[in-house]
Amino acid sequence: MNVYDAKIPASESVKGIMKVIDKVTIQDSGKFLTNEGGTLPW
Amino acid sequence: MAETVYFVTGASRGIGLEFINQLVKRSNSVVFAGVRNPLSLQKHYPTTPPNLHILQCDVTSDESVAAAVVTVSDAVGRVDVLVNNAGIDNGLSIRETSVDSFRSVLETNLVGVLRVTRAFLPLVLKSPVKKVINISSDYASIQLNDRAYCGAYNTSKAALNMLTIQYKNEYADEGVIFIPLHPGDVFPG
Repeated sequence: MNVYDAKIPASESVKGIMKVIDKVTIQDSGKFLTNEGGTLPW
Repeated sequence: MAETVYFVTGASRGIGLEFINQLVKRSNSVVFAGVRNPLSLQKHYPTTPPNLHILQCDVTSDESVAAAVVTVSDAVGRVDVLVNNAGIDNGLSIRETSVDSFRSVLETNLVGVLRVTRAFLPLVLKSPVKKVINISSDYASIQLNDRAYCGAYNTSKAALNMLTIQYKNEYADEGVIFIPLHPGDVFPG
């Protein structure tokens, strides 16, 4: 939680995270994902 | 379809509490909420939904985590989705951070995830779903981190990302899905 850069409520964050959790497969294992389903650089 | 069993750490506030709020609304979910102090979550649920189980689980305590494993194992015998959400931040730059404070942040954010994952993996391996979600941060990214504060937090999350990859490498053959996940820049509380 980056409280200094707050932009979205926890409800919105978790809504996105739940979608990501529901759809990830073994092919996604080890990807650095975001609540919006994107990937981040290491 | 069979019900989905979730175990979420740090469930009394912030993203963790929101996980619980959204998960209990799913009719096919069984939700185990790990919190240091059960009262801190019970106050949000004066009437506990039938699919919610509130457990004492301090991620910095071997005994507490072991007891949580026994409770979940006895109740349902598996965990489909483990969400390592518990985390702390001292809010300080690294130059302001004492060695003890640094160690404390890493104990919860990094060692805590190791402790919980080690303890719960046998239950995850009994699931057909096998998902471990580690709540990380975009500031875990060596490429993206540009801030001169929250030094211990940023460091802990970068290490958490590597821990997650290490687990992914070692459990790929068993089909366990490990995801380091940036939750977005979320308002506190």
